[in-house]
Amino acid sequence: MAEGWPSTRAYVVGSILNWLFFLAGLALLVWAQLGGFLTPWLGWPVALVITASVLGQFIVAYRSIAAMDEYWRGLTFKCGIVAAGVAISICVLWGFANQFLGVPAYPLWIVYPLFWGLFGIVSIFIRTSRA
Amino acid sequence: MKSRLRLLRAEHGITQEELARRTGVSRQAINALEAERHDPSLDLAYRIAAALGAPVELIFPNPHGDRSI
Repeated sequence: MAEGWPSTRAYVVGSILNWLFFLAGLALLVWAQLGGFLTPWLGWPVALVITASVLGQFIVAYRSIAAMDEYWRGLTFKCGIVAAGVAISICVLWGFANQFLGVPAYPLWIVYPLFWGLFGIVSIFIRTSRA
Repeated sequence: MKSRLRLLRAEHGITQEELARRTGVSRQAINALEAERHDPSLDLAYRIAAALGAPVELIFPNPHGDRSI
Protein backbone atom coordinates (compact mmCIF):
# COMPACT_ATOMS: atom_id res chain seq x y z
CA MET A 1 0.00 0.00 0.00
CA ALA A 2 1.31 3.46 -0.87
CA GLU A 3 2.57 5.94 1.73
CA GLY A 4 0.14 8.56 3.02
CA TRP A 5 -3.61 8.36 2.94
CA PRO A 6 -4.51 5.20 1.06
CA SER A 7 -6.63 5.64 -2.03
CA THR A 8 -7.58 3.45 -4.92
CA ARG A 9 -7.65 4.47 -8.57
CA ALA A 10 -11.45 4.10 -8.50
CA TYR A 11 -11.62 6.55 -5.58
CA VAL A 12 -9.42 9.15 -7.26
CA VAL A 13 -11.23 8.96 -10.59
CA GLY A 14 -14.66 8.83 -8.93
CA SER A 15 -13.86 11.79 -6.70
CA ILE A 16 -12.61 13.92 -9.60
CA LEU A 17 -15.72 13.14 -11.64
CA ASN A 18 -18.13 13.76 -8.75
CA TRP A 19 -16.52 17.09 -7.86
CA LEU A 20 -16.46 18.14 -11.52
CA PHE A 21 -20.20 17.46 -11.78
CA PHE A 22 -20.81 19.30 -8.51
CA LEU A 23 -18.84 22.39 -9.50
CA ALA A 24 -20.10 22.42 -13.08
CA GLY A 25 -23.70 22.14 -11.90
CA LEU A 26 -23.20 24.89 -9.37
CA ALA A 27 -21.57 27.14 -11.98
CA LEU A 28 -24.42 26.45 -14.42
CA LEU A 29 -27.09 27.34 -11.86
CA VAL A 30 -25.29 30.54 -10.87
CA TRP A 31 -24.80 31.48 -14.52
CA ALA A 32 -28.44 30.76 -15.37
CA GLN A 33 -29.66 32.77 -12.40
CA LEU A 34 -27.44 35.75 -13.21
CA GLY A 35 -28.44 35.50 -16.87
CA GLY A 36 -32.11 35.45 -15.98
CA PHE A 37 -32.85 32.17 -17.77
CA LEU A 38 -33.11 29.86 -14.77
CA THR A 39 -36.39 27.98 -15.09
CA PRO A 40 -37.65 25.00 -13.07
CA TRP A 41 -37.11 22.85 -16.18
CA LEU A 42 -33.41 23.67 -16.04
CA GLY A 43 -32.96 24.12 -12.29
CA TRP A 44 -34.45 20.87 -11.04
CA PRO A 45 -32.53 18.48 -13.32
CA VAL A 46 -29.25 20.30 -12.63
CA ALA A 47 -29.95 20.25 -8.89
CA LEU A 48 -30.62 16.51 -9.11
CA VAL A 49 -27.37 15.93 -11.01
CA ILE A 50 -25.49 17.86 -8.32
CA THR A 51 -27.22 15.82 -5.63
CA ALA A 52 -26.30 12.60 -7.45
CA SER A 53 -22.67 13.70 -7.45
CA VAL A 54 -22.82 14.20 -3.68
CA LEU A 55 -24.30 10.74 -3.20
CA GLY A 56 -21.74 9.34 -5.64
CA GLN A 57 -18.89 10.88 -3.68
CA PHE A 58 -20.05 9.20 -0.48
CA ILE A 59 -20.39 5.89 -2.31
CA VAL A 60 -16.81 6.02 -3.66
CA ALA A 61 -15.60 7.11 -0.21
CA TYR A 62 -17.41 4.16 1.39
CA ARG A 63 -15.90 1.74 -1.13
CA SER A 64 -12.46 3.19 -0.51
CA ILE A 65 -12.89 2.78 3.24
CA ALA A 66 -14.03 -0.81 2.75
CA ALA A 67 -10.76 -1.54 0.94
CA MET A 68 -8.58 -0.06 3.71
CA ASP A 69 -6.92 -2.00 6.49
CA GLU A 70 -8.31 -1.70 10.02
CA TYR A 71 -5.94 1.10 11.08
CA TRP A 72 -6.83 3.40 8.17
CA ARG A 73 -10.50 2.48 8.46
CA GLY A 74 -10.53 3.46 12.12
CA LEU A 75 -8.65 6.66 11.39
CA THR A 76 -10.97 7.59 8.53
CA PHE A 77 -14.11 6.99 10.57
CA LYS A 78 -12.70 9.06 13.41
CA CYS A 79 -11.90 11.95 11.05
CA GLY A 80 -15.36 11.60 9.48
CA ILE A 81 -17.11 11.75 12.83
CA VAL A 82 -15.12 14.79 13.96
CA ALA A 83 -15.65 16.59 10.64
CA ALA A 84 -19.38 15.79 10.64
CA GLY A 85 -19.72 16.93 14.25
CA VAL A 86 -18.01 20.25 13.58
CA ALA A 87 -19.83 20.84 10.27
CA ILE A 88 -23.27 20.11 11.75
CA SER A 89 -22.52 22.22 14.83
CA ILE A 90 -21.53 25.18 12.65
CA CYS A 91 -24.73 24.78 10.62
CA VAL A 92 -26.90 24.54 13.73
CA LEU A 93 -25.27 27.64 15.22
CA TRP A 94 -25.66 29.51 11.93
CA GLY A 95 -29.26 28.36 11.61
CA PHE A 96 -30.26 29.69 15.03
CA ALA A 97 -28.28 32.89 14.45
CA ASN A 98 -30.06 33.32 11.13
CA GLN A 99 -33.54 32.66 12.50
CA PHE A 100 -33.32 34.62 15.73
CA LEU A 101 -30.40 37.06 15.45
CA GLY A 102 -30.68 38.37 11.92
CA VAL A 103 -27.45 36.82 10.64
CA PRO A 104 -27.60 36.44 6.83
CA ALA A 105 -28.85 33.12 5.46
CA TYR A 106 -26.52 30.76 3.65
CA PRO A 107 -27.55 27.97 1.26
CA LEU A 108 -27.79 24.55 2.87
CA TRP A 109 -25.53 22.91 0.27
CA ILE A 110 -22.58 24.68 1.94
CA VAL A 111 -22.53 21.82 4.46
CA TYR A 112 -21.19 19.46 1.78
CA PRO A 113 -17.94 21.28 0.90
CA LEU A 114 -17.72 22.36 4.55
CA PHE A 115 -17.73 18.71 5.66
CA TRP A 116 -15.02 17.64 3.20
CA GLY A 117 -12.94 20.72 3.94
CA LEU A 118 -13.10 19.97 7.64
CA PHE A 119 -12.33 16.32 6.94
CA GLY A 120 -9.16 17.38 5.15
CA ILE A 121 -8.15 19.66 8.01
CA VAL A 122 -8.80 17.21 10.86
CA SER A 123 -7.06 14.39 8.99
CA ILE A 124 -3.82 16.36 9.29
CA PHE A 125 -4.06 16.30 13.08
CA ILE A 126 -5.75 12.98 13.89
CA ARG A 127 -3.09 10.27 13.60
CA THR A 128 -4.41 7.69 16.04
CA SER A 129 -7.34 5.34 15.66
CA ARG A 130 -7.67 5.06 19.43
CA ALA A 131 -10.51 6.79 21.25
CA MET B 1 -2.42 -1.18 24.38
CA LYS B 2 1.20 -1.86 25.28
CA SER B 3 2.99 -4.12 22.88
CA ARG B 4 6.35 -5.77 22.39
CA LEU B 5 5.89 -5.74 18.64
CA ARG B 6 8.83 -3.48 17.78
CA LEU B 7 11.16 -5.53 19.95
CA LEU B 8 10.02 -8.90 18.60
CA ARG B 9 10.05 -7.68 15.01
CA ALA B 10 13.64 -6.49 15.47
CA GLU B 11 14.59 -9.82 17.03
CA HIS B 12 13.20 -11.57 13.95
CA GLY B 13 15.16 -9.17 11.75
CA ILE B 14 12.21 -8.14 9.59
CA THR B 15 11.17 -4.69 8.52
CA GLN B 16 7.80 -3.04 9.03
CA GLU B 17 7.20 -3.42 5.30
CA GLU B 18 7.86 -7.14 5.44
CA LEU B 19 5.63 -7.68 8.46
CA ALA B 20 2.93 -5.59 6.79
CA ARG B 21 3.16 -7.74 3.66
CA ARG B 22 2.95 -10.95 5.71
CA THR B 23 -0.09 -9.77 7.67
CA GLY B 24 -1.95 -8.03 4.84
CA VAL B 25 -2.00 -4.52 6.29
CA SER B 26 -0.21 -1.27 5.46
CA ARG B 27 3.23 -0.36 6.79
CA GLN B 28 1.56 2.57 8.52
CA ALA B 29 -0.67 0.14 10.40
CA ILE B 30 2.39 -1.72 11.72
CA ASN B 31 4.00 1.59 12.63
CA ALA B 32 0.81 2.71 14.41
CA LEU B 33 0.74 -0.55 16.40
CA GLU B 34 4.37 -0.11 17.46
CA ALA B 35 3.77 3.52 18.39
CA GLU B 36 0.61 2.54 20.31
CA ARG B 37 -1.57 4.67 18.07
CA HIS B 38 -3.75 1.71 17.17
CA ASP B 39 -5.15 -1.21 19.13
CA PRO B 40 -5.22 -4.33 16.97
CA SER B 41 -8.33 -6.37 16.37
CA LEU B 42 -8.17 -9.94 17.61
CA ASP B 43 -7.85 -11.07 13.99
CA LEU B 44 -4.85 -8.83 13.31
CA ALA B 45 -3.23 -9.76 16.61
CA TYR B 46 -3.44 -13.44 15.64
CA ARG B 47 -2.12 -12.73 12.14
CA ILE B 48 0.89 -10.93 13.60
CA ALA B 49 1.42 -13.71 16.12
CA ALA B 50 1.38 -16.26 13.30
CA ALA B 51 3.78 -14.18 11.21
CA LEU B 52 6.23 -13.88 14.11
CA GLY B 53 5.69 -17.43 15.34
CA ALA B 54 4.93 -16.23 18.85
CA PRO B 55 1.93 -16.42 21.18
CA VAL B 56 -0.38 -13.41 20.99
CA GLU B 57 0.12 -12.49 24.65
CA LEU B 58 3.88 -12.38 24.21
CA ILE B 59 3.41 -9.62 21.63
CA PHE B 60 0.38 -7.93 23.12
CA PRO B 61 0.32 -8.52 26.89
CA ASN B 62 -3.19 -8.88 28.24
CA PRO B 63 -4.00 -5.43 29.67
CA HIS B 64 -6.58 -7.03 31.97
CA GLY B 65 -3.97 -9.18 33.65
CA ASP B 66 -5.16 -12.20 35.56
CA ARG B 67 -8.61 -10.94 36.49
CA SER B 68 -10.32 -14.27 36.78
CA ILE B 69 -14.09 -14.69 36.93
